[in-house]
Amino acid sequence: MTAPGSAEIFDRGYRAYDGPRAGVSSSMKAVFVSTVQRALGLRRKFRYKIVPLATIFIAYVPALVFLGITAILPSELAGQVVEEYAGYFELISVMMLLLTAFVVPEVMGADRKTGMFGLYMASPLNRWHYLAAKFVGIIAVLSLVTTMPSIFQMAGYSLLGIGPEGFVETIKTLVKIIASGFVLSIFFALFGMAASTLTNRHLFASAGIVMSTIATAAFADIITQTSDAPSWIQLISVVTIPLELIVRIWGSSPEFPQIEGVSTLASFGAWALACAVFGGVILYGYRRMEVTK
Amino acid sequence: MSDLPPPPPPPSSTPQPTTAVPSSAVPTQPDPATPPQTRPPPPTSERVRIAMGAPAAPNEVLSVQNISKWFGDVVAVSDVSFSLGPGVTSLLGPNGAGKSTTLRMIAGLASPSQGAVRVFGENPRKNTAVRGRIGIVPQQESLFQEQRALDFVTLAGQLNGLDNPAGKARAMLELVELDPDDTRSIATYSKGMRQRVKLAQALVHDPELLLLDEPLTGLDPRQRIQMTELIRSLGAGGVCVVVSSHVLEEVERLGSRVMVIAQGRLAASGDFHEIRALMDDRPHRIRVRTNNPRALGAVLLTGSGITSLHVVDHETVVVDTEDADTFRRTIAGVAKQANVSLHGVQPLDDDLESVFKYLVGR
Repeated sequence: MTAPGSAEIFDRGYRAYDGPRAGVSSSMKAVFVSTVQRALGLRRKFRYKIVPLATIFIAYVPALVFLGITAILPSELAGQVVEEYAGYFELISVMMLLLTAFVVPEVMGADRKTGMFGLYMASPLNRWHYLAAKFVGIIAVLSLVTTMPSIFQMAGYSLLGIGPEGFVETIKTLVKIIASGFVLSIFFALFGMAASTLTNRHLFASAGIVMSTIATAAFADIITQTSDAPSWIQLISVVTIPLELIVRIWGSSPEFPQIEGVSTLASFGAWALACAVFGGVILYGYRRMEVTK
Repeated sequence: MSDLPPPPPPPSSTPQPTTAVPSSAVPTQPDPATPPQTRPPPPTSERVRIAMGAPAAPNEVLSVQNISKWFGDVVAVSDVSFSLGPGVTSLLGPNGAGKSTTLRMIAGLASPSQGAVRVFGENPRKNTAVRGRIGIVPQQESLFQEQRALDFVTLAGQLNGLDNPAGKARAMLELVELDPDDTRSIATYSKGMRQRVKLAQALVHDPELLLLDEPLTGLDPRQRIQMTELIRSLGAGGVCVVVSSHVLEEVERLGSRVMVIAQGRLAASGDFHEIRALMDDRPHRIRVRTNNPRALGAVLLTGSGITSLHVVDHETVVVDTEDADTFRRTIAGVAKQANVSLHGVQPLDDDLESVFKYLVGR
């Protein structure tokens, strides 16, 4: 019970903040977290979670299937049906493309469309901080499809006794998986961001990503099959560029041969050039971008 | 705050609005190199600045120097200059006058095509630390509408590096009378509620310069009063608040310090009563209530300075005069001379609306 004479009216008015203030890194972290949340549909309605989570789940299905098969087969047969890592990256490239087409326009275009980009720019961030945080956020999400399934696959194989032999081999395999994951993630993140820089429309950017991938792959196939064009022409295909470099990381095999006549350096050069072009489009687009909302 | 800087010479390519007011109305020192009679009258905005006197004060927060902004062939803002310190200033102008563009340039969101903006002496486009001292309420309402208000305001706090962004976000939402625990998304909010969310995110990091683009739009009358009080208290507490609006009664409630923008140009700045006093090209309209308007009118017309006179009814006469001060000083004597009773003398165009109409309608 309140004692007589102890009544008090509290001031609920504006009070200045006098606590510590973190620097730009804290702001970038906020953009990063916001990007990951938005990409995965976290803290949003269920319908926004369906596509990203389903895509990510599907990327793990091949690993689950192979692990299931190898688990029930005798160990001498299990070793023969083990899926190569390079092949796994090829398997998930479709999922990768879908996730890129869905996620990247969502996290890039929406900011500009809704005016959030202006609010970000009104904070202690500049455009390059913002883009860097977005890039890292997109890489983190795409890694759930590129890197994590292969790590999951390697862990499963190791538990079943058909994984890399010894500590050194395990580390080597892990480094190759991470490197391959980055090759795919960086490429598709920049590709998606470049497409999203060109339009605020989610649908247009998504369609552009999918259509340009299909069109360049079809064009490269037609050219190489109907003419005496040099084999490097296959690198016109958007999806072939990172996958070819991944083949070089793991080493060529009969199932996953490398393109004849293209050196590893040239393969890396093609990947780096494509990344540079995408990066150039992003930087040019954002440098010129006016905040009009 | 009378802290407007001396006017820079206007470039010939972007002339300031001019006025037919004689330069003798302006308390300036004569230039010995230029004969007074051949010197053109300075533009209204310059005259107001001159009248308000004084170069930039030491506590200057914001300085805008000859900024222009054009989009292709469209000039949105043309050669605008002013400086501000703590307190509330209203940026007044019709839709499309260039208010929002000016605010965006001040916030560092858009670069001036020409001229410079300095906030706390720094370029907000380049110095990101300065942007942490700015809060902005943008005009559009589509900001992350799928988020909860608390998440949105917390994000603003995180962006500005607060130690406990969620706690401060809760406090700010309560301040603007919103429930921090509301689980609904911003998309389901009314226009007034969304407006308050935007204000909360602008205040969350305790900015020293607050830019509010039409902040009272959509609020109900009680909320408007509350928000107006909040804005005034922030200004009184040392925050430099710039409020853009095209609603005159909002601006009048926020205080008398205004900057009027018309067609991308700064038409006037300062206290609107003082602006009106300087607008000598417009006769001052005064309503006089008396027991015999005809008799009073007859005597008034024999004097000088009256440009027109209209007997409205049996107790009211409306007078247009070029010299309102002299009229106010002499009207009692004139009434005595006319042997009439004087019931009231009231200026009819000394309010913000009249000032605005005169300036925008030039």
